Amino acid sequence: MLNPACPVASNLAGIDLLLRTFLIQTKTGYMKERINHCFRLVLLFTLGNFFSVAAISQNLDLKGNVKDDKGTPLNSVNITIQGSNLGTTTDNEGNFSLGNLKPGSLLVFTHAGYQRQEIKVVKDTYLSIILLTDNQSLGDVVVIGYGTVAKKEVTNAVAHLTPGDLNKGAINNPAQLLQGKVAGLSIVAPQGNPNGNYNIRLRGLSTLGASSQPLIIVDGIIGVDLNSIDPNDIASIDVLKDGGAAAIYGTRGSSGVILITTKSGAKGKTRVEYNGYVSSEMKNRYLPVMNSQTYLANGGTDYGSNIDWLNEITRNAISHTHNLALSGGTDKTKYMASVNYRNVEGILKNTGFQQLGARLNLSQKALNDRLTLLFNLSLQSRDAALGFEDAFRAAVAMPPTAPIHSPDPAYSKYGGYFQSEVHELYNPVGIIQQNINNQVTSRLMYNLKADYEVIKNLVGSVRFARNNDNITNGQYISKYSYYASGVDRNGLASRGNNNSKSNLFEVTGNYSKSLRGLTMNFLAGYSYQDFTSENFFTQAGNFLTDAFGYNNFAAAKDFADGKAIATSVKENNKLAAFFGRASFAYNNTYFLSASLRKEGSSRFGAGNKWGLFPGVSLAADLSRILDLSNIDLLKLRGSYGVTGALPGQSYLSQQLYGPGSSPTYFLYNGVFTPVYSPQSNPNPDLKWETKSEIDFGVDFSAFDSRLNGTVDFYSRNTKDALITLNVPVPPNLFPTTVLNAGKLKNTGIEVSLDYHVIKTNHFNWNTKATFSTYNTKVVSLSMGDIKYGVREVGGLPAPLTGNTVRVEEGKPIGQMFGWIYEGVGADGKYIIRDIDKNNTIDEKDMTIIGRGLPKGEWGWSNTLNYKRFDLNIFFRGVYGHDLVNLNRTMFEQVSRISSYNLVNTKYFDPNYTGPAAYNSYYLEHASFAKLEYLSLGYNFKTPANGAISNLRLFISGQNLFYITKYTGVDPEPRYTDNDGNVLAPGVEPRNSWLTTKTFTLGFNVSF
Amino acid sequence: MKIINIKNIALFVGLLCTIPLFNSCTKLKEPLYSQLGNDNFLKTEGEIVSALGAAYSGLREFQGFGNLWTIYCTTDEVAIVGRTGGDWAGDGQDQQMTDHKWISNNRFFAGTWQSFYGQINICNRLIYQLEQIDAEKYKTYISEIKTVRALWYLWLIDEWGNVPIVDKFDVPKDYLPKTSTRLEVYNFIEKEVKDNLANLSKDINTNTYGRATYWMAQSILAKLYLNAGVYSGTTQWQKAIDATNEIIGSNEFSLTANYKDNFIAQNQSSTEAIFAIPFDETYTQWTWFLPLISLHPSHVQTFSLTQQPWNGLSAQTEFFNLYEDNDIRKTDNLLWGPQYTANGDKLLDPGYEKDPAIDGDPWVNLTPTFISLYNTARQSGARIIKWEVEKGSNGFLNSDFFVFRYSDILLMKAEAMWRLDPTNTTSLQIVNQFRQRAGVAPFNSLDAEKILNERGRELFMEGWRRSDKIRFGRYNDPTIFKPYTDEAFRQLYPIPKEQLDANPNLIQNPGY
Repeated sequence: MLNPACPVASNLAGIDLLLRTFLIQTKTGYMKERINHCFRLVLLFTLGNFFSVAAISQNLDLKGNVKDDKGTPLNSVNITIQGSNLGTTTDNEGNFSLGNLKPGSLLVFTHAGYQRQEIKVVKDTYLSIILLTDNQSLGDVVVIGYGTVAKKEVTNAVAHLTPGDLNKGAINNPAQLLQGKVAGLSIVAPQGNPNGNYNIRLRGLSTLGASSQPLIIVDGIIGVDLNSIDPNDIASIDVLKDGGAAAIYGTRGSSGVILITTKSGAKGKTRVEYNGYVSSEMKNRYLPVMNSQTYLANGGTDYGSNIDWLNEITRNAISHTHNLALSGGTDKTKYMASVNYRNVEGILKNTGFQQLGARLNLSQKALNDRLTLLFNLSLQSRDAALGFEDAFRAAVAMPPTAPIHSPDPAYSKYGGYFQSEVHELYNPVGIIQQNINNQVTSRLMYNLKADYEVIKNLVGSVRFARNNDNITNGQYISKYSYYASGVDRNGLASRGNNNSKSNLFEVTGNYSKSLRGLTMNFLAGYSYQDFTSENFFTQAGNFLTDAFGYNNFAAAKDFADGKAIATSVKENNKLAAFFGRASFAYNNTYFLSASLRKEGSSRFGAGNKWGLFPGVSLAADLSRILDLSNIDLLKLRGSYGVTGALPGQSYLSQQLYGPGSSPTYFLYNGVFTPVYSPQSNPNPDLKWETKSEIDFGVDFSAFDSRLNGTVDFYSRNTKDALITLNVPVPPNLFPTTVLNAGKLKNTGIEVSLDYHVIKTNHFNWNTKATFSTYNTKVVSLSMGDIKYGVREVGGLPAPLTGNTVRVEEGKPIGQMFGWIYEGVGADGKYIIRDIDKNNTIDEKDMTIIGRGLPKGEWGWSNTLNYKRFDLNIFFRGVYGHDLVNLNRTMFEQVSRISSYNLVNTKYFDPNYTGPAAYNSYYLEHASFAKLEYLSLGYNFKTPANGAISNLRLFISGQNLFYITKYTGVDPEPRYTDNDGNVLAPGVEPRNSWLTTKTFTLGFNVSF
Repeated sequence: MKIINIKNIALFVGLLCTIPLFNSCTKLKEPLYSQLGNDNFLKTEGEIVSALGAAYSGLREFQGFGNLWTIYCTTDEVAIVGRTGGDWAGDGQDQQMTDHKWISNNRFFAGTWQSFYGQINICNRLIYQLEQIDAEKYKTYISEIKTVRALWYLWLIDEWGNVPIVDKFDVPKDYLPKTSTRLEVYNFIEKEVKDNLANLSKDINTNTYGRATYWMAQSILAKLYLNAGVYSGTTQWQKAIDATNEIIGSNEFSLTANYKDNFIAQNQSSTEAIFAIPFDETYTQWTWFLPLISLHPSHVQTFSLTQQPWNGLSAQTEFFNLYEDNDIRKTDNLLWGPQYTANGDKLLDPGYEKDPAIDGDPWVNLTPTFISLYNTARQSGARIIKWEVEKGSNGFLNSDFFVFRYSDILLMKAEAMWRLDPTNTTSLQIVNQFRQRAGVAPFNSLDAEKILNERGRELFMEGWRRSDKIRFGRYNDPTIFKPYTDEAFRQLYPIPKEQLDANPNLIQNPGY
């Protein structure tokens, strides 16, 4: 908004000043300066105003020109006059003229893809207007820990994204916005599950025992659940990638930090914006199973029907979303209020959610503008039907000849659903129709911050924030359901509630000083955060009727029979820290930043409560030192930082006693009495995981900022990683203890390029690409005499036995392990490669057969603008990883066909007649490329003086097609197994949802 | 100017003044809400009893899923057979127990070792804690726990022989126990039991049921002495006789009228129970679920079970044939032949094999013979119903397991006497008592084979077949599933690989 080149008419600050100098009576040195400086200005305007008011209104004739910040004239820019029907647009050279204007009119400049500007005109002048694009903010400011810094001064690997950079379409979760947009940030979606969780990893795996998800900070509130932010409210996202930047967050910075800033109001007329879209989601990739014909031809059992089970349980899901946002403000007060409503159906029948959210962001200046109060309030309430992902498992295994219902009285105990009593063969339609699985979530966040300018350049802040999430689950299994023991328990109801609260209290002081080319900034602060979580759960069955669902526990006979379960748990932990940072910039050429955080957590053992986390980074902008033609920015930077990771649970260091999660009893004097015993081995030396990271990077910008890019190389070393190790059973009580024994090493390269290929008045083409590589190695998992040895993890489910991943010190994570398949012999058995050539196939012939973690990822997006149209195409790919196709491993062998349906891919081999067993035949390469987003939008030309200032219509497609050799459901890497073990990646579980493609039609209007 | 300055300073000072409040927030305590810590546990009698319970509830591990394989499947009693369709076949380790082809990192050895030593640790901890509180007041509890611990060592000495003796809880930080020889373990068990005899109760009533008593301790001694030849290298038949006579002379025990009385659902009043591990379908779920492991899936309809069995454990053919046709114990212990639903209809198996060479008929007919150990039909094998499978059961047994049963003590006396004097008549009389109760013809004389097999028939699946076969030197004999003589070193199990990795002081048993 500020245009230093033309301070007169377009300089709102000047007008601000004008108003302030009139209103504020007291004078300070600071104020005096400004008054002197603009004395004339003030007089001029005041007099001008008086004259215009007192005299007969003398109309203005204005001329002007509109350009973008690169100097290109903008045509078709709408210029409207507030409060009248008059207005105009700019011509091809960006020129405009307006006559007969009342002095004091407010001119509003709007143009699609650019930020709105408002100018109050009081005099005949020539207006040179510069419009900034939507994805450029004032002076390009980047949010880092506890502050912001100009983009030029950033010394770390930080990615800054605004809505223009983020993904668009039917987006329900902020994680979707970032998929493929940041080099080094890997995001795996939960396939088609609308209630599923995204798996986010930054720069590979840097932790074993703590959460591998980055720390999420929203408007300064630390440790927020990503699901509580509505994507429509996001103004910018900053990702702190390297250790140097994350060090200021101490024990929670190891997995990276994502800072989200929500939209705030701006001074000017109130703006109302509505976004709405409707989308249709359908199957994309799913497992091809045999149809009746093929099934019977291969020896299947004929139950008489021909059912496509996957079809029976899925549907075309229609969802719609509405967002209404109001924003506006004055000099002193700025506000943004929004309401979001989402009604999402899941592709699995009887799943989906409805969500209502609201947000209020308010800022108020007081006390001569020295005090700024910021208040954020966010509410969210979601009603979800979670459904049963086991229906997908059952749909694969169920023979296609089996009917859905059967009138035979043998099935009346199953409510008429056909149900054989064989393990795994649950009627998929029965599962989703007979049973209920609901979840209600309410979230509340409040955030209050006060910034006070104590003396010039010294600002003290106090923040108080509270975050409260409440999740209630209700599940009912019908008394006719064979699945989940419904029949066995004669109906089974469960209800559970989880309430987690956190309180954050922070005090910071920030001092900046400029001294002859050297700019300095000092930060010091204290932070305290406390987390409490309370949980209770009840389960009981044996009901007379299904009619109550889970809403009448009094009717459950299990309470009287002693078969009901009730549990409750409460847990609390605290974090306290002292931190500081000093940053220096010399001549905008040399930059240095150093930070230190001393943090303690109640989760650490008595011997190790506090840890120290330093970070230092420096950068030099070579373009200002050397004379390089065409290069606008060539900044070399390097950083080193130490961050930590907290143990995933509290109380690990203490000796605990209790009845255990399911109480045991012993017979004492003829009566069964509860047993209380220790629940863990104590570990008073328990401490945080430490990750130290070195990062070297280059940020460059060339050809008049048409080409921008970043290249980073990083190397991370994690030590003291928390891992559960076997300890000798005498003398320990438990065979395992959580110890700080692990060491990991992680290296990689990240490249990010952005090139404005074509740039003309009518047509623009911008292309962006990101590329990252990953390499994670287990250095050691032993501690002193306790050796980890070599171990296999990632156990296969029954009837398969054995494990899929070998963990070995000195080797990469995700070494897939097994026998090498060479074919099928004449006897119908597998031919396995006899590695030790001893004519027997045993565990010594197993070897490394693949890689569970990817080698790298890339993303490529293209944005094209032609007149009023815009087109976005985004491809993304991951390569180098393999996946165990578990469905094929268990259901591809003809020996199983008498009971189960089989997966029918090109790999199906009727010559193999043995039982299901795992070997390399079932481990497939899963590298892929896909068309992630494709959208076409049109900006309508809005009437010059109409109420509507912007109207855009778009259609988009998500996840349209994949290019991959993988025959399973989703070729995305799986970072953990079903139990969350990060050392056992690479297995596609049997209860995977399908992948889906979505078509969306939406529009935004602002007025 | 002045006004602003004062305001500034006031605000700044105000901010500073709040800092002391924060100092109290640098104390990072971890308050416990749902667990007890060292500070608030073991303070009342009730809490001490509940802590004591850990030693007894832990005994249920003996029948734990997985431990059954190391205890029962390495003899000719029972086996886990691989079924068509892949059930139980998996990695073959279950079957390797039976054909003695196990490898040293077989998961069952690892599991049982951990499970047994885990219980020993619990005993050590409780002894330590009680001694800290009041060694004199709680000397009965302490002696009980020491006796229970001796029982675990009795099983360890039988299965692994050369094991570490860990009898203290307060060990130094980097303590790694050393392997002791089998003889050392033998001496340890003998001393432990004898030292604690005096404090144990001699009563047999509801209060002492399921708890370590004087008679239980004598039973441990009897077993120790009976197997002394194997455990210590020197036989101790007379001492075995003395220990059994001590128990018999108490007059607290007598044979039940029917064999089955010892194995019904509510068998706690059996007069043969010397030491029982109590089980209950509600209070001790998922600890002893033999019906689920052994019965055929379709048996849900025969017994109205609320959970479907898994078609695993079956009696081996030669053991099945060990019983004469009219031996009551055969029908009491085993289930075979054509099966019916509760209504008397034919019991059908929807998962039956369609290949007539295997079994072309969906009507469940449990055959005592098998096709092979690794891959047999779903309907192969006589199943174990020794402990009552109640109508409507959820698969968890209500019967209590008698670790030491009076019948066993009598048979032990008979054997020990026969060992010293093969012609004595008392032994023959005792053995014939059991044959009479079983409804079969009495023996005219005794030999090793007859004694071994009568013990086998009487004490089927009570945990002694393995030590009996080793003592009689028949453990490595060929069986149908193991048609060869295997190596003598297999009479001891291998120390699990992960224990060897974690503790360099342990020594592997010979042969592995």
